[in-house]
Amino acid sequence: MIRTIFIMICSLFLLTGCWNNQELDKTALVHGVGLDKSDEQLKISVEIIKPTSNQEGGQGGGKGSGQHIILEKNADTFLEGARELIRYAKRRLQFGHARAWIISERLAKGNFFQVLDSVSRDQMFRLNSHPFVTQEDPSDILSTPTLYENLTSLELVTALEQTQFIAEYAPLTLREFYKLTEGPIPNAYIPMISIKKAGEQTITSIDGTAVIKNNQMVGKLNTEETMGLNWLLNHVEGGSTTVSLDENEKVSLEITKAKTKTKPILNGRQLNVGIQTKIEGTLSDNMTTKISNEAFFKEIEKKVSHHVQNEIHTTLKKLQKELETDITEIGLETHRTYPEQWQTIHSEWNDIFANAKISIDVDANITHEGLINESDPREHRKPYNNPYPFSK
Amino acid sequence: MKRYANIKKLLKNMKERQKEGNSNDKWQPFSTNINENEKTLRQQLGTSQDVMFTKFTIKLQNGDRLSAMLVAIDGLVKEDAKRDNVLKPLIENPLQEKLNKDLKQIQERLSTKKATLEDNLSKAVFQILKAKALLIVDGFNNGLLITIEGFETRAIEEPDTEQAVRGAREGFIESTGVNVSLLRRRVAHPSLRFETIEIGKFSQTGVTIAYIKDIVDLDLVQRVKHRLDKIKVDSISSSGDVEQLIEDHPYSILPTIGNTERPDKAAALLMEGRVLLLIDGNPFCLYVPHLFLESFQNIEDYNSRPYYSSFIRLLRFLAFFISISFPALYISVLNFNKSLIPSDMIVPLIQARETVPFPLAMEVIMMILMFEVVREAGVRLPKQLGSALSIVGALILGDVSVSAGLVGAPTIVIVSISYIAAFVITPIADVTALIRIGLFIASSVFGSYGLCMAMLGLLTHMVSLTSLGVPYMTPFSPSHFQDWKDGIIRFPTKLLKQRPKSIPNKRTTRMKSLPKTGDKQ
Repeated sequence: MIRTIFIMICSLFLLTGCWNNQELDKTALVHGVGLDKSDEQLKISVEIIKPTSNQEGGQGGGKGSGQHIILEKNADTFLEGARELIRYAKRRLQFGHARAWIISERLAKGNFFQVLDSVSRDQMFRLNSHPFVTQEDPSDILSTPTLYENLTSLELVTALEQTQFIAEYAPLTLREFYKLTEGPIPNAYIPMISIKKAGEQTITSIDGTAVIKNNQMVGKLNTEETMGLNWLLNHVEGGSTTVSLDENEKVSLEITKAKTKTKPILNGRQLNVGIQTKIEGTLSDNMTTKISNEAFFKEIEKKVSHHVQNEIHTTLKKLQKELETDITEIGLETHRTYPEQWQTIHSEWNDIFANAKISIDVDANITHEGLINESDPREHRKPYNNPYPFSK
Repeated sequence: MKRYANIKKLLKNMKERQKEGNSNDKWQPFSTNINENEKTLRQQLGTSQDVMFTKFTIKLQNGDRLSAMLVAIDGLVKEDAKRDNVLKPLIENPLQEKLNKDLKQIQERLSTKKATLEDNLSKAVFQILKAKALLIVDGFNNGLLITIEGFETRAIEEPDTEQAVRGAREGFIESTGVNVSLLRRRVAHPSLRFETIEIGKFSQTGVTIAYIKDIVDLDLVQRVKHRLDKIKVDSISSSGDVEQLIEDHPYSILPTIGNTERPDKAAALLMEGRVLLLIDGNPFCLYVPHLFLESFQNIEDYNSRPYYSSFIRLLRFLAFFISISFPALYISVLNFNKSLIPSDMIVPLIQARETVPFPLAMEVIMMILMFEVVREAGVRLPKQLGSALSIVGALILGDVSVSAGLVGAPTIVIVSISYIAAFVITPIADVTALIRIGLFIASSVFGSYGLCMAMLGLLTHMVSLTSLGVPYMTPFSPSHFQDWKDGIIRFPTKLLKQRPKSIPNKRTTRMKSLPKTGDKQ
């Protein structure tokens, strides 16, 4: 018995395990990383959780600022920078909680893939973190005061979980990003953030999407085009679409269900793509004076279909003509449908995509009209359901 | 060779000692002379003040007088029974005929529970000490052992250790006689058998085995009896002694013999084919076989609706897991796998850690030990001092230590949760404390890997245990799927038609026929 136990304990030392026993208060937990280029070197900025417990701030919530430490360092490689930052941070940096990777546009237009190599190589980094591209200095983004959370990067990441209510940005995780870039078409997209002024406060705002082609950023889509991209990627879970019937008469549709099907038909070098989008929605904001009846619905449905079609069309036009980059599902679908032909057209895909004929078919349906029928004052109407018909 | 001789000598000594242990059964005849007998008795019982020699004379109709003597222990026999039922009938009315060789006529005169003839004097001495009265009459070489026992016992109360909202309010007491009657009232069938063995050379503790002959596996009874027979000790002080002397695995941290203070539970256990051990002088009755699963069951489960009791059972399993592994998981996540902490939780955790001057392992182990101290103090402390303890425990340990920065608040929460969770599973609450510390040490050295290894080790040990030959982890391992109906969840009573297979028994069906559900007649 004792011998068995002895052998068991000894074998524990032979096997591998997690040997990085490190006290929580001896590490610097990085929550966000900013990557920039300066003088042919990599400028790394990290957002570290400030460990000093500050009772008032912690309980009152405050504005949430002052809970983080921003450090910057220039280095040749990412790992070198991470290690050299120990000199500043006085503690070993722990990247296990790095949730946001903010890459400057300058770097993204260069060779930022090589920079991110260690992120996918090392096991410490989490692949469910989110990359962002920004035109500003990444360390400025990281030091923007937060609204609710303690950390700016945490707040950025929580924003990405709101896709149920808004479809104006295209979120993705590092894992999805690597999946895209290592797929048949090495193109990807990354959401962009910028700093805005709202009243006296500076806030971060997610707008637009960076388009990555062959490991380099080649351009960007604005907010409307991002919406179109979301339609194409079948990523729309919710959000709203606003159409105007006449001047100043606007109607908003809350999207409850949306589905996009991409069907490529390859004819030699000519690609025809049929894109079918089905939308179901609730009439949630009616600023017109019209009575909501069947004809009115039909009209809105038509308008919404047209509007979404336009959005998709604009995005596609930009991707096809201007950027010649396929970050949509079209390439993947073609690869799936024509795996044999793909080998031959693979190298010319950008050309084929740019010249593809794409027909967009949007079918919008209003399934619910909200709780009331019409929005205008109803004095002129007969009180058909007046519970007291004889009184006035 | 010399060593061998030593061993031989030891064995010889042991045999002699064993013989000595059996000296109670020594044969010593009564003398026909009453004075002779008195002398022997006085010599054997000594001058203890509680030994009473009551001398009197029995008149015969022919005018003869016989001197007689009643020997009993003060406080063990009922004084009025002695007077009214023994002395009065013998003194007041003269015996009609001439007495035969034995004490038959006298025996018939007595109006007591039981009176038996005894030839062996030394056996009679022990019977006197066990609350019997000995009657000796001049001219007879035997004595009459009269049962007029009556000593102070506690009233039957609701047991504190196993409370039930809906259930019997009776609990076992220290007297086996009463306990036996409590059981007999619940199982009024001749098949319920009691057998008593006296253990302990000096204490002469009565250990009563109870079982239902038509249900129990007689091999099991034989095994229990055999083990009890083998015990030759000076004294048995409590049920814990017996438990640890007859256990299959006396060195395991897990108890393989169960105990209960509730007669209703004991009766239910008998009905499942178990063997009970009632130890005189102890309100806890032992039962074998005891399974791991029973620590999570409660007599109340069968009284309340099946759904709620199933829910509570699941909760108990969860509580067990929480109780043993929470501090271990805490340290393995915080010190080894920091990426596993939810992002929103890391800020408060890191802030709490920052002020604490000790390493996390020391902080947690300190807290665990402090909680253990407070618990122990709470159990042993006189009730009047309880409020002082709660102030010290709650205020100093909980609040002030956090604000002083000696302990982090998350640590207190984790340790407290694991302790409170243990209180849900009272039968093995003491075991969880040890497992908790073991798992904690393993994972503070090796991280989650160590935790997994220690858990595996624990599981391996648990699966290897047996309770008087019955595997401790049944019905899980070896599996008896039929018994899972009354395992982690409890099926409605109507579906529990079969007696648990995990416990060896002779009668598989326990419900022969049931009213049809929704029968209109």
